Amino acid sequence: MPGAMDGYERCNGCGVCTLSCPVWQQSHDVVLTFMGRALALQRGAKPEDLRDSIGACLLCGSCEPVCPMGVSTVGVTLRLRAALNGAAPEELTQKHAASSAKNGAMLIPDAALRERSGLLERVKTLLGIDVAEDDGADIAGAFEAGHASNAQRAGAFLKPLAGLREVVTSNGIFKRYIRGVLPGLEVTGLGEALVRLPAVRAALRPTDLYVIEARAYNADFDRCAPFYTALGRQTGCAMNLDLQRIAIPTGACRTADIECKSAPKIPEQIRWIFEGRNFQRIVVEAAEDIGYLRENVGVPVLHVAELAGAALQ
Amino acid sequence: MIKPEAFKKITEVPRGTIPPDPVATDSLKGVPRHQTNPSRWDGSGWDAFVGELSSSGVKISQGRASCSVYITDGGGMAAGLPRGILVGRSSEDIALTLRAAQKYGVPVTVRGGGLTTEGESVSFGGLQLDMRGMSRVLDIDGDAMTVRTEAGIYWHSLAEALRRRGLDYLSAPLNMTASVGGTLGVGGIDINSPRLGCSADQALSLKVVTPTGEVVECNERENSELFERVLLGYGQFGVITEATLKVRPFTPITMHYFYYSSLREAIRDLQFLAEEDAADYVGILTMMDRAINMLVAFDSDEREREFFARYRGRIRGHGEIGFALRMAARYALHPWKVKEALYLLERKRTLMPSFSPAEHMDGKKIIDRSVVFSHAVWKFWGGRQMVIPDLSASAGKFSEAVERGNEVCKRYFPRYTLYCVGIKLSGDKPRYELSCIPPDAKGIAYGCEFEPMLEDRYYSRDYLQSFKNEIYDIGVDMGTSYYRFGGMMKGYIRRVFGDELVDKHLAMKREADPGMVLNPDVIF
Repeated sequence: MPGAMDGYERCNGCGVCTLSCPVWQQSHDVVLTFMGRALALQRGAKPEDLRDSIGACLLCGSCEPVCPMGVSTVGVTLRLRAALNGAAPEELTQKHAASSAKNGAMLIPDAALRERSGLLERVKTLLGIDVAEDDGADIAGAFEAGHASNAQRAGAFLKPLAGLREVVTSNGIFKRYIRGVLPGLEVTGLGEALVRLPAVRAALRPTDLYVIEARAYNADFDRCAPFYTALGRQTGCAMNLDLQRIAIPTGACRTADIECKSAPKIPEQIRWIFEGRNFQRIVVEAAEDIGYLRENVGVPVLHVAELAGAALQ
Repeated sequence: MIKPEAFKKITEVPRGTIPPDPVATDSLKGVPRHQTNPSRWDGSGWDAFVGELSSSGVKISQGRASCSVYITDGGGMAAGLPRGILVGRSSEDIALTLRAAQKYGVPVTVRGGGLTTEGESVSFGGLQLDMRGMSRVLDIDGDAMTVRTEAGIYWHSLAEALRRRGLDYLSAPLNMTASVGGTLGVGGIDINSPRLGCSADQALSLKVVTPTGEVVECNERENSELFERVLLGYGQFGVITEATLKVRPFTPITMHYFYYSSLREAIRDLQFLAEEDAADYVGILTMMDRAINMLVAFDSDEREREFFARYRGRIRGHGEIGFALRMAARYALHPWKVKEALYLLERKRTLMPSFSPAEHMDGKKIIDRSVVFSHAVWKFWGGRQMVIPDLSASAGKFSEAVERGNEVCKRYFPRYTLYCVGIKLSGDKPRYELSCIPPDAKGIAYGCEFEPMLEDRYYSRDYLQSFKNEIYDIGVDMGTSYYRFGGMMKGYIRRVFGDELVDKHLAMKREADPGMVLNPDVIF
């Protein structure tokens, strides 16, 4: 598929992308990783030959910032999913002009945040922004799964965003999607937007484990890595960052309905995040992580938006 | 082009004996020559081999797409295709596999990170055993300062686990995706190797699966002969499945750079600092022989202070400004070389910041230097082909070896890098025989890698092979060794080490591996 999988041909097999990859961490089967896919494609494999590998990927973006050859690893994987599902890549990269005439910001919550209405209200109050009526969950799911997005539906979702200055989203995959279709629009992860607030930041403790939402962080690594490194030094808290400063995902971010036996298991991911760390409290950026972490640990688990409330109490 | 008639002179010999060397001793000098891949194994016995293992619960993957992932190695010049892949998950599975391989005559090629450059980890039609399936850290002992790990683990992943406990390995290759087991079989050189030795010398105990499928624990007291054969043994005498290694407290490092325009002076200072144990890390990295950079680093402020008090005044390297002025003067007097000057400036502009990325710096200290250096290595020197011939020499021969190699580089490539380090030796160990450690080295050895910057230019395999041959010919002439002398370059082994030593090791190999199935065509 000419152009559809641009970049895989540059893979030199160094394996650096596997070092932070959750699929690699759990399986140690290189064929299931981006490197495995890229090398197989170079040698004539078709997407159908790599179905399990393509399906296993969390799209956490751990591989992309560290690739020394600058391959768009997530982009290639998304295109491979699209190729498996028969979606034409052009539909997924449809661009809309962003208007810079108006100021304003909007929050696009994910399903996990929407389900926690109290938490959502707290986020709204803290950030002082409106919540999008249309959370685009179906579009995010289609994007993640590689299904074609109905142009009319995508247009309806994107139109209100095009006139904004900033979109804040708790759905990490939207950072990549919206930037792709509205390149002039600033897209910020919810966690980052909240932890920039002095009241929230001041409530972080050195005994905390702060769990960064991996997809938004890794998609914007060059900007986020220095920010969170500084945050860690300022507050003393531990974070779910590995030696490459990549955010380790819990695995709960996977929203699309993709059946894949090789997908990373969430308890294993959480075990790896916890390995060798001591903490008295966990603070998460992603609401979907709350339940899984509470199942696996006997310390309090808070959403970052609740920090401000705790400090004010 | 080799005429077909030439092949008729090579006698067919059965597997289990060493075939005649395809290249005569006098055919290498100055003659560009195409080094071929080993011949592809014909597959006889494969189905029975797979069937027997399957009935024992060991599954061989044979899909074409999966096998194609393993076609080449880091060097990108050897091209093979395994008939099947086994991702090793346990010593027992590997033992079953090797027993079956002996029975059916199936060649087994072992791969960790796959960062060999001469096809040593490439399978030519046999079974590819991917050791990365064994990547668990089994035990970290903070009191004894040791770690027990499965040997297929990347050094980087080991560092991750150790770091969570405030620990670090001692020395490891600068490439994060080298595996522990593979490195122990080759050496493992870091820029702290002048002080701490090679990675193989950090091993305290190993679990090894022998070529005949025995699982053996070995160390300097127990099964010591096997221990000495497997370390620096190029995978000939067994598969390392677990290793106990020394560890140390993690420390960030402080790095200083000294600049030279003379290779000889830089090497002299490198050797001086290594012999004086004046720094915790010291190495040389060059852009051609124009911008020569000696990296000197410290694990502690005390060592840094001592260096500046006792040694800084005794080395000739310049600081950045002093060197820049000298370079400016040089190019002012040689204006026709302005393109070279601009290239060096641009290289410095892009490369140096990569050694101090903000998220890995705490003030002037580098945190997780292995990540910083390895990212830089892959970004600026990585590619789909990597050509890295090297020379490993004793102290007295090193400067001449590097200078001669530099002249070869200049003839072949407009841009290249030299990387020089020292390797402290742990006495006179049997493992050093037929290894990257030159036989005449005492106390410390030195190695230099000669790496052309291939960039976007296309070079034929003949051209690249001719370049490697000329570097390796220096080793033959001077009696040095090499870090990489197997695979496509194995024709040099007899030339450098001599028939007596090679035949001694061949006899040991035949005894340990009757079917000659484990890592064939790497050394033997």
